[in-house]
Amino acid sequence: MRMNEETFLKVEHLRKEFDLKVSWIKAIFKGKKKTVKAVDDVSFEIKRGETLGIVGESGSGKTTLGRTVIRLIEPTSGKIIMDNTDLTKLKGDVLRKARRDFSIIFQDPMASLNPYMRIGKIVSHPLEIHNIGTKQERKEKILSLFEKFNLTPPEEFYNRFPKYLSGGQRQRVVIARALITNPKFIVADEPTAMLDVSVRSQILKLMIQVKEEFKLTYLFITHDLAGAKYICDRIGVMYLGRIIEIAKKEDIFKEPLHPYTKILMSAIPIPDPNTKREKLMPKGEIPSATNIPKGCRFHTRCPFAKDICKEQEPELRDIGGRLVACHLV
Amino acid sequence: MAVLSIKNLFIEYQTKSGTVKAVEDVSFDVEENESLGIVGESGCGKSTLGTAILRLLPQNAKITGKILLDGVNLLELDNESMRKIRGKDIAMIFQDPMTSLNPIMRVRDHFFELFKVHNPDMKKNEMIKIASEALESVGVDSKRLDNYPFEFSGGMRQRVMIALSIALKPKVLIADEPTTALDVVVQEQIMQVLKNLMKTKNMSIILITHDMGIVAEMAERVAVMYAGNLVELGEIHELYNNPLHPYTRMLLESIPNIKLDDMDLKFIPGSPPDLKNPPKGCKYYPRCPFAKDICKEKDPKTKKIGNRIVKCWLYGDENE
Repeated sequence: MRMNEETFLKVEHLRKEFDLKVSWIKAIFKGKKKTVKAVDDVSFEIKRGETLGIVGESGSGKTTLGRTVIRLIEPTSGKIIMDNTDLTKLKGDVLRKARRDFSIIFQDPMASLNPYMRIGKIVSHPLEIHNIGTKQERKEKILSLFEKFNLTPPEEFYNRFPKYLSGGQRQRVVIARALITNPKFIVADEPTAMLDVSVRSQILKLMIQVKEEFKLTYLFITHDLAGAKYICDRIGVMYLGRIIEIAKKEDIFKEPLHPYTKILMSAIPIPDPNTKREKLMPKGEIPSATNIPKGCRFHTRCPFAKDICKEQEPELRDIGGRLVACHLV
Repeated sequence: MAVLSIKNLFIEYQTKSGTVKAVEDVSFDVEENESLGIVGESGCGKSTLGTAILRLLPQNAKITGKILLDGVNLLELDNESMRKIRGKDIAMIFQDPMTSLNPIMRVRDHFFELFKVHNPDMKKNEMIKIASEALESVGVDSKRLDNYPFEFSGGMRQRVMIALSIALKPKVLIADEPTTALDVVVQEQIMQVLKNLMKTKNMSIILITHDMGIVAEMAERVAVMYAGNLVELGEIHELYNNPLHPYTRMLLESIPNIKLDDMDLKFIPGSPPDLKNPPKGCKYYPRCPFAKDICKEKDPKTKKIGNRIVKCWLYGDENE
């Protein structure tokens, strides 16, 4: 398959379904298997050096999407083409070798660091797996990275256990571990959600700084739209397993087109008591992903829904250079 | 008139590795029908303060000072009288709606338990009536009284919690990070519920949060806490438009605002001090860009500037 020079990652019709456990009684009498359609036909591209943000509520499938893209979760179907290689075709050793090119930053820095391992060991682990450098070279590399990340004195951090680090320091260690193999692509799954306000901006700044230095491409998953505005180039909005709008961040913040995007935008609290806004509210709550509504999946909550929305599922259409899945736009 | 008045409150936790000074010399008033926000980073003592008002702190906490509810010092009440106040005069909403309801009790039994503490003779149909009204007032169908907590989503559970806390028409409602565990859209729905209650019920709200955006939308006055100290308190517009304390200023600058095009995100360097071993002088001086010699030596006194309270050496006389 030929790819645009600029395109780094191309995801095509990606799906991930999870089977729900059903008791054997139900299985016999109802005879139906329940599946959760966590990612339901998602396609997008990311250019080299670009940051694509994925935003949405809990249960929209954004975390599953991020993990499926780097094959931490096996996709049900679809293609993931990174640098002209289809990741879904890779197996065993080939896949393991490919893994040094992409990495993930998890949400909870308390849970993603092994409490019984010293920080130095944690960060050198990926190097050992990929057989990179000698013991001495690894240590030097890690120490210089710590220095850059303001984990100083680096020698001291190298020998510490995670529990002696603050939340912000831990997240910097997680980022250092993700970068140690010089990857090209990073999935950041809510990297600032567990952090305090003042630390949050430190981590965002660090992520922007290392992006330049390491020539990275990011997939940035978040529910914090204000943070996304700061770090992303383009933003995709997910609802019940599908991207319903994707556009440059300037466009999406200035003029959201999809009703759901409008609702998300108006729900963000503005830290300025002088701003008074008209709030747009959806009806009810997000439906279960085992039972996605027919027609437009948002019509049950949409304040503008018409008859056609109940019948026909809207496709992502190009509207002035941006993609929106809504009958009303 | 002040409903609740906190005077020179000190709270210390005795731990194996030393004494943690969680709240130090905090004083403020909560007026009738007012919404007061308390903001700060994790560990600044804001939740300890909220929990102390209801006297729900763990055994190892030592409290001194006064907490006056309509002139009565809650710290001097015996346990039985204090129990009569919790839920009736002062109620609380906790952060995590998943863990604050009992999973094996129906919603109505949560209400019944509360009513029985305050009025053992209350008739069943009266209890159901009050509970239904409370649920309806937060947008939950009263039919759901018979449901168990697991049958509700996170947002609906938080609504049930709010209904429980307002059922007996408390004078003061303490909301400790009521929306932190929730998504933006659900958070907005819960804030609408609280705003609606503030308009219709005769009640003061203390809103404890780390989110300056939520405070801007909900509160009339804000108290900023840092390392157990109340560093600034003022009317919401005054405080946001012209923050006096350097910490308030940096806290406000570090929040991304989607309405602004200026994308230069600032942050506060360093981290809050260890409260077992806080710095001498002003607790904020190690991170403060305006720190002077005196800040390292002497803890500043709380000063009143107009309607504002500020605890910083940049204001007032150093020789006092």
